[in-house]
Amino acid sequence: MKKLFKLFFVSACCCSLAACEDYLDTSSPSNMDDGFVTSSPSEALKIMSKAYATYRQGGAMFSLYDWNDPLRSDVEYYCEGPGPNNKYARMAISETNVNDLQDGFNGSYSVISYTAKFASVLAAKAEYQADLAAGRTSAWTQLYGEAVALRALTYFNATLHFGDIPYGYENTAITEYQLSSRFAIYDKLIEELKAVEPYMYRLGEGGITGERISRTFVNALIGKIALHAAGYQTIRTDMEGLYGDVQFETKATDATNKCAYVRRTDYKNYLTIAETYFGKAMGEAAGSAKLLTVDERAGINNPFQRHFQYSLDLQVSPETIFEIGCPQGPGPDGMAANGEYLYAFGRASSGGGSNGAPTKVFAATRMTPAFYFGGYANDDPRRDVSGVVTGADGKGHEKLIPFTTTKNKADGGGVCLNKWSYCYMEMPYTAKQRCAGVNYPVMRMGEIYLMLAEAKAGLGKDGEALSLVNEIRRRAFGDQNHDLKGLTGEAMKKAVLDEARLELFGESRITWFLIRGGVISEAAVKAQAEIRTICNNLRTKGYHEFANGNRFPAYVWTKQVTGPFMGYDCKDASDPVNYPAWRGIYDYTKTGYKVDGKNHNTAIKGLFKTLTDAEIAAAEADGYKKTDYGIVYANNEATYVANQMGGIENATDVPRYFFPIPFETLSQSKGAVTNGYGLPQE
Amino acid sequence: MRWSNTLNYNFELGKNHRFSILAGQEVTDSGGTSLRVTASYFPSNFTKDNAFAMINQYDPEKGKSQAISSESLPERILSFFGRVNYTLLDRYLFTFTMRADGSSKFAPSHRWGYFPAAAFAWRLSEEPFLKNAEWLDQLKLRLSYGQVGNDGINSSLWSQTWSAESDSRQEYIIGNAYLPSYKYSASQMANPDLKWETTITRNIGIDFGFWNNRLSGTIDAYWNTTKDLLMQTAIPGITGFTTTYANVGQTSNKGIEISLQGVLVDKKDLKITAGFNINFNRGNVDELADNVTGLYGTQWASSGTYPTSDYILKVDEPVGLVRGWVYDGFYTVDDFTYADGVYTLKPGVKDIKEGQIYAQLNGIGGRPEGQTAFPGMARYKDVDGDGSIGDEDLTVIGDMTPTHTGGFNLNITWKNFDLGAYFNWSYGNQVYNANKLGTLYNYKESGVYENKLAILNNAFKPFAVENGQMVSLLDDPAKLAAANAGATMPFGYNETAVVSSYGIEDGSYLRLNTLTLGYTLPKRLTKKIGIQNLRIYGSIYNVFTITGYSGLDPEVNTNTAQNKQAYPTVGLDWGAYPRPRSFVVGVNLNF
Repeated sequence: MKKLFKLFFVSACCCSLAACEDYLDTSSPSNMDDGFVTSSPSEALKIMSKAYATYRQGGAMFSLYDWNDPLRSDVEYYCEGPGPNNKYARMAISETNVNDLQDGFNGSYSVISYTAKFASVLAAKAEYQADLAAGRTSAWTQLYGEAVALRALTYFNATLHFGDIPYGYENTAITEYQLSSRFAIYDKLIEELKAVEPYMYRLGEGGITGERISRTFVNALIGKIALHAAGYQTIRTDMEGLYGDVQFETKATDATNKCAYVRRTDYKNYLTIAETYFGKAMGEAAGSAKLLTVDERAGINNPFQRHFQYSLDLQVSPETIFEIGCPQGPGPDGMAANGEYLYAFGRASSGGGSNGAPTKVFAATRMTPAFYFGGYANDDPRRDVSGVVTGADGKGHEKLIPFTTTKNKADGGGVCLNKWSYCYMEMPYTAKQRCAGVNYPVMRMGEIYLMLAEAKAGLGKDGEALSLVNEIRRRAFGDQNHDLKGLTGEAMKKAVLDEARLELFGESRITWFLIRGGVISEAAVKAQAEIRTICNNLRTKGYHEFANGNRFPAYVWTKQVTGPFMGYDCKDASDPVNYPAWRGIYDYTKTGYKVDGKNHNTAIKGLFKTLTDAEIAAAEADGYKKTDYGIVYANNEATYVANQMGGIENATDVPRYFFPIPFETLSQSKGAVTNGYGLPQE
Repeated sequence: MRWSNTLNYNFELGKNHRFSILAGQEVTDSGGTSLRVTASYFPSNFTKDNAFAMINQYDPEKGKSQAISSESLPERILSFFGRVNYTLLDRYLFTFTMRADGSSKFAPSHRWGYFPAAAFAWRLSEEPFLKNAEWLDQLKLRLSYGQVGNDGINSSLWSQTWSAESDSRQEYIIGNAYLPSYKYSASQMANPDLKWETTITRNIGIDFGFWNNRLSGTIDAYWNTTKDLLMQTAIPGITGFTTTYANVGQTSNKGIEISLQGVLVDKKDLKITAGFNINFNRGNVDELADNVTGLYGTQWASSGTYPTSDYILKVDEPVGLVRGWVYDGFYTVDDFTYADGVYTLKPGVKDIKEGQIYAQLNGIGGRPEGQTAFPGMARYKDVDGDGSIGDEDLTVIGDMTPTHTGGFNLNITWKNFDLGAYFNWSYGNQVYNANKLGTLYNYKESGVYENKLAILNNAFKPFAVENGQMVSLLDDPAKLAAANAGATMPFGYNETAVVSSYGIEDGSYLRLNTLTLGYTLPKRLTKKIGIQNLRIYGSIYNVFTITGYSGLDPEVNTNTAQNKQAYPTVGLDWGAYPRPRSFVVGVNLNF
């Protein structure tokens, strides 16, 4: 009997489990479904938090010094001699490897995956559908718009840097896929953005700041995508039928690398879209965004600099349309998020990786001497805000940056980008490099003005284009005396481009004005020729003189003087310490750093005007020392020519500025996806 | 938790039929919770124990604190199984088993796997016609077939869910404050089609012992197949993911294993035994899933490695094929015409296509635009005969699979002394010597005139040392040619790390792995102090190796998943620590 009972008990146990099929349906309170994570707008925002962070961390926005964009123009170059970090800026296709930008490519699609998934989950939500049906802008429609727009921004950036790419395969198991035409992608993105834009908050509404995507930014993004669709660009000629019915007018062709520099023949349709939506971004959808024309600071009147100062103060400027938020210092878990911007593009510092004064600033972007000495009017306050001849030694002292090509930071490379300088921060973060806390700029109002001017000039609306350029100039100079007058046709287009160089130096934008304008190869060849002339004059005459009367000297006379102090607006060219303006050195003793010595600031004589023998004698008597300057530039002529888009040798060359699509995406495509433009396949 | 219930029933039918029947059921459930609390900057008088005991007493001005908790997704298996053993006449043994396993790691429609197995053994030595054979101790024939399932992957891979992000770098920042974030639970793309991996084993074997087991051994032939291999596999980044788990294909191993043990001498004071084993194994990739290209790369020189995928899985070939260019010596001065500092390749001499690799030559002379070749640069075979070297000339350049591997040992005991020697070998395999290829790689930070490994002594040199100074030879082709008349290696200035057959070598070896000499003290001495047995011995490991391999060790022990590859990067020699030779002296004591 006992045996029978046991048998019965065991059988019952087995059967009860067998019936329990749902034993294998597992769950955990740590694993959440779509409904749980979108239960409220504040919960749902956590997914956008991941998407934005992925954009910042995953290489989507910052691969290889902002995709080499700020290093590839006729006024910008990279701080070292030719190498892997600037091979795409030099368009040195033979040096590229197929997986060079693997992280940027895959990281971009990771952002696309998150935003596409999030948008599809929100689209199915009853609350979102109700708000949409009622024509109501709400937290739900705002979030949906943000997801669609961040996806669009990422796809758009991917087309700029990889050309034609596979579109729409995110979150799908695929065995077959192909390239999509960038023009088809632009059309889709514009349509999607047009659909969400009316239901999003303008800047300043609904708690939306420039650190999130707003209706303001989406309008401007539509304009920017349309402007790129309309502009000149390099397309592939090895893919029959890739561009469908789109017709092109051709500027140049490259039979060897099977590509051409073209623009679509119906480009004016796209310029009209750009005109409309830039207009909205500046008008009805602007919200709190504006061109910053007033500087409220005592003793300083430089609204142009004020914009960048907001960023150094870790605040969002009213001129910002969108920027990616970055933390200062490591997070609560001790991990330091990507705070690369000031490290890569700040004013150079030769400091160490931690506890410097300030810490290392690589300062990738440099200003050609031709532009620094000859490109600006001498009373243009933007020159000294944009470029600087001195950096920091990393031990609390200012120092002249030489033109040495084998060293970077403040030890070589020449005139440095100055818009983001540690020294102008109220309390610079000096414990660790790469975590200064300065946000990554994505778009500001000044850029919209100039893009709209470009669109209007392209549509023949020269008067309107001119007045936009003049608004930018009035903000810079603070008066109307510097207005340009009576420009039309090609002269107007050139004026927009010239203003873009002055206004947007170092902001990764000039290269695109050149590419869209169809002039990048001409600009490259012209800049290279000018370098050769400058170097020759430096060697033979000891200086090169520019049309504005400035001279780029072979030697300057420098000495270290007391301090530390910072320079602000200074118009007195005879002041060797405060001129050029916007330099000097922060008092790093405030950060707890033990700064040695007494002489912290650098006085420079003979920088824009060569000294007479008598002046040299007087300066040397005063303790100034003769210092190699332009002569080092001249001695490295070949390096500087190579760095100035050296891959372009003729004005009729097709510019090949794209990155390779990485190998895994090529190899699994069964031959449907290849790299064009002579880029490697393997 | 693991909970098993089995029911066993043994019975006999008559004298000759014995049965054992087992039915069972098993449940496993595992999971866990974690809690992590971190804080930094504690008062200076705090010890680590104080800090752990009062973790909230950190300095919030300077320090940071974080608490993260999570509960993992349970991993559950529900199994039912049965087994029947049938023994006929104590000589014929039959076993049949059947398992049904359900795993929570797969989607409901793929949860259950069914795994049958059967075995047969025939004790030949028990047969009446052999039972009385004096020379035979044991003879047994074995036959088996079985299937086994594997679900060895994480739990949350078949469906996409969300989890809390714990890495602050993956959180956005608004107004200088961190915004918490939700991420996908798995970094791999979810695959609802995942199913059990099944290994099918088929074996036929003989166990034997002759002459009082003076000679014994086993011979086995096997054919094992693993189908629906469950592995992480690379997917195109355009999906938003770079990897997924999938049933990627099928592999098999066929082989013969022979193992022999013999007692050569068995006397009172002298005993000599020897053992020998040899294995002939041939692995094979039987099939690959549609989205698996079989290409995978070690990237030992990171993105400078060419080709990106230096390994390939090919259907009907073994695992461990290396792919690259076929080395064909190097360009000599005679291949070029020289004028004004520029070396122009003569017509008819094949060049490497522009953009294929990047050979850094700045500072050491000129080439015409569009030419890759330069005197001293390695050259490669134009496999497809199209007139130049490019991607299309990439081919399988090495097979890392040995023809056979094995070992033998000899043990001699003489009086109280014992001596053991253990050898092992591998024959017919190749080794991918990336260290050697690496010496030809010269990334941008390295200069032309920097120090190099000694093996580059005989490499092509663009310079000479005259009066203690380095001088370039490039402006005088005749001098350059004369100086390099005896060069046996290409120069080492490639900015691209090219994988070529130059780095593929025969990896056969014979190694005396262990040599041991021992002495056991006579028991009459040790017993007095209460010790049963006391043996003193000395061993040498890695005594010597006979090999033609030029690297440090032909038995390469580099991580076989270089570059985090899911597929094995077998036979790669890259940056491994040299195998040590160790000397050990020891004492064995028994009380």
